[in-house]
Amino acid sequence: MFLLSTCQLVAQDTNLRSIGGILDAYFTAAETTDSLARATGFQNLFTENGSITSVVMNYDGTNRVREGSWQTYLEKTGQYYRRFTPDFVEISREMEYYLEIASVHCIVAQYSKQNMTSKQYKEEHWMQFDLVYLNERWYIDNLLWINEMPGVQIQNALITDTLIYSPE
Amino acid sequence: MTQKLTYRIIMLLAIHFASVSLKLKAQSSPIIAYDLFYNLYEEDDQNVESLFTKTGRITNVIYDTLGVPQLMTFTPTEYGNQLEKISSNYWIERTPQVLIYRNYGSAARIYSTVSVKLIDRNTRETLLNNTIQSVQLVKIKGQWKINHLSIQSEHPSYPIPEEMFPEGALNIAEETENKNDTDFEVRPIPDFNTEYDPNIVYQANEVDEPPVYPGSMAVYSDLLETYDVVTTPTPGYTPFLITINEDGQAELTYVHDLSGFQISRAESFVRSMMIWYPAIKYAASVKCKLVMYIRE
Repeated sequence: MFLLSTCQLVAQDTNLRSIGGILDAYFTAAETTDSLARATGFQNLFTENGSITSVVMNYDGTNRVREGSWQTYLEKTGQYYRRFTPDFVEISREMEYYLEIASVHCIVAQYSKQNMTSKQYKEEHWMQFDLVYLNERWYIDNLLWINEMPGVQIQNALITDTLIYSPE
Repeated sequence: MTQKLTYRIIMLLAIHFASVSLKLKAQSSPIIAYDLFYNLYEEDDQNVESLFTKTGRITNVIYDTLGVPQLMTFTPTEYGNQLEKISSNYWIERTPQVLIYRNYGSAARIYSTVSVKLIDRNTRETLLNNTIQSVQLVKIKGQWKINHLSIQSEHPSYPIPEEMFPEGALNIAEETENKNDTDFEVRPIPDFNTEYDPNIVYQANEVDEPPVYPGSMAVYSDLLETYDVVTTPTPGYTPFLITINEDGQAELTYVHDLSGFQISRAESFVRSMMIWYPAIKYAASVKCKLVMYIRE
């Protein structure tokens, strides 16, 4: 199982030259329930100092921010993967890029199927990927996601304002 | 895969806040946190670390002598040290140009052009470098902090797109405006009788349903608090009017009593609003004006 997953991840390397390719590879790796295969996948996709931040918006408007390296993220999410099998569905995507850097914004539905009961939970996120292009392929240098707040569509996260900076 | 959502471009002038006010409202909005970072050396009580999250990082793409891209990663302290080292020989001016801004809840992103000017302290020789800087911000304990910053210098062979500089951005806004005129023209239905008059701007107590701000009360309160705006007459606050149009877009309509700085803040306040549920009268969406009060 681990070998099979690793082979699939390596085969995706050729697709990492495109932004769509690295995003697809990330979702595949994040859906992998085998912890070793998942770690291999993340190692292949993230830069050495790559980081992951999650922002959880609570019902009362307060939040909880967790930040750290992708390695720390893997360590801390072991329990989630033991209880759930995730499935990510990208709903929409926008991006800004110039030469070797790209900021990619995705609205993603995350389905978590509880392994014991097969009950499925759904959450929508705004995911921000900071990508860098090195050695002929993209890497994830930073990833942040925030969950949908009650009453405020997550799609609003993609609305942009273009501002012109004008010093006094 | 890409699903284009509502896209709006709003021109904002004068988002540079007075430094005194910045100190009072330190990092209370993503734009203020961003502004503080780029005016670091004008703020004598700020240091780089205080503007970043605990694990915040700066990633800079540079090119080696063969033109191969290399990644340099700094902690805020290291980045601050670098700036300090450079500033011993040069005056550093980092001037943002055009910002593409997104914000949802406690996360924000500002993808921007930043012109970096280094002026030699001895010879006055000036080095100018345009960069793209993508800033990710998160709100932690009520303060907006930079969580990640990616920097890419302009490559002479591949100039940064024109629209990322002020003149270009104006062109884009004009194009968008024209496109809207053509694509979204609204025509009245023939023989439809109603007392509805699109020219009347109603007061909130004249409509059947007043305008409603979308989302929870907390989101609206947060917005008011961010810009120091209240909805009832309060000593130390100056009144101004906003109009919620039939399409739910908010517009600043009366600012005569406000100072220049208050106007700038009121503009930012209105620009930060989401699309309202418009007021209803005669079973139709109507324009409605709301009186608000901004801190002096």
